[in-house]
Amino acid sequence: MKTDNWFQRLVRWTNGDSKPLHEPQAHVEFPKKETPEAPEAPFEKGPSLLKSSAGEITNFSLMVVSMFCCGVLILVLLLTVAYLPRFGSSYNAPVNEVSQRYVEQGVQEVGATNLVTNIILVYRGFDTYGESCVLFLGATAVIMLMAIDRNNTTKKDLEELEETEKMESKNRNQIIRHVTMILMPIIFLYGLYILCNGHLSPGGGFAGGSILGGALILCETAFGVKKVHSFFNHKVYHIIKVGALILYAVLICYTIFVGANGLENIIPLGKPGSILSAGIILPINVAVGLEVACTMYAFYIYFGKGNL
Amino acid sequence: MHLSEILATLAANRFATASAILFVVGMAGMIFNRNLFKKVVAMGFMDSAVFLFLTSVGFVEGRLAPIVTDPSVPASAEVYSNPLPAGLVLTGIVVSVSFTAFSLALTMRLYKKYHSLDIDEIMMKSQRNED
Repeated sequence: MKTDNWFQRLVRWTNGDSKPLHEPQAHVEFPKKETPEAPEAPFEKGPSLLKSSAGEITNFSLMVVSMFCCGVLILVLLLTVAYLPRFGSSYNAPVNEVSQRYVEQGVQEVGATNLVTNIILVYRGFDTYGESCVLFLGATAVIMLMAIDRNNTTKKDLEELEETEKMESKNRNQIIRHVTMILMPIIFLYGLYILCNGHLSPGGGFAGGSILGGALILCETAFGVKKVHSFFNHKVYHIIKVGALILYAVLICYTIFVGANGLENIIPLGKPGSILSAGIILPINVAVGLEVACTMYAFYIYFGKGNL
Repeated sequence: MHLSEILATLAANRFATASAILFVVGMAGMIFNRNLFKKVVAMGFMDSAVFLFLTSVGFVEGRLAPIVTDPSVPASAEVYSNPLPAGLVLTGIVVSVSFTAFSLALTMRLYKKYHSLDIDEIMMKSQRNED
């Protein structure tokens, strides 16, 4: 038998094979369901472990043990809470010299008046970069699992999808369409405002990006996937997503390099409180916002339609 | 420590108490539900509990939100409450969103293959497939 390459094994694994490293047995291969109409043999409750009388006893005792564990856990947690310092007191463990330094030096060193933004994008910028990578990986994994390809769909699925699309375009509500036409620019403007004011007020890349993604989802609901596809297709999606991540990586690497070697940072900090200030924070916020908007829309569209 | 003292501290630390209860509710949901989708929702409960606890720890009575209103005056740590836990919670929220989406995608793939969300049924069907 021909040995599969690693990619075929990966595909088998994502399709539910529990032993992807072994050669597939004849009946382990999962045939495409060409006739899903034939009613699946009703799930037999044969002599399984869980249904036998001994199994029931095991099940019951397991239940009791889990309840006991939950009870013990809640008691331990509440007792721990009882020994914590009081809520709102300044003796809490996190109120220490680290946060004191962030509060007192933050505006001079980094330049943003929103101290939380200072911390997440510059002091702990490397950490937030990892977080953006997690978001990127999450979107990639969802695309890998949900995208329609020849391995996981049949002709019938595609026909059904087309049917739904037709029904949706016929029943698309006029009211939603008109309201969306009015609201769309306002929502986009609001999202961009939050994105670009991340260093001055609450908000920033993650919040603004979610609003932008929500605007895209609203657009898809009102006008259909074809309209959105005309300005936001695979190519644009990949360019924005990878470009934003690379921009973030370059900026944060530059800052770390300059800071570690004691060189002079050529990016001006500007006057704290104005919109063009705080050095690298504004471009990083924009990059993160674009990344988050793309991810939100990708989650929505791949769960619903399986294709961008 | 007397019981009355413990209860008084629990009432004072009301957000931490609520987060402890929420955490155990989420864990019980993960243990006792056999539906995979409900398990993912219960995981979200546990995430929220951790975020609630971290946020409540950063608050200091009588201090302002950590946004400097007048940059010309040097900021004092006595004026603003602690900005560090807020940043950590933001990280956690984003990771939990990605994780929820990923586990829901896996659940949907399992449903497509086995036509069921019940974890026991899925296990039995997969074992029967292997035999």
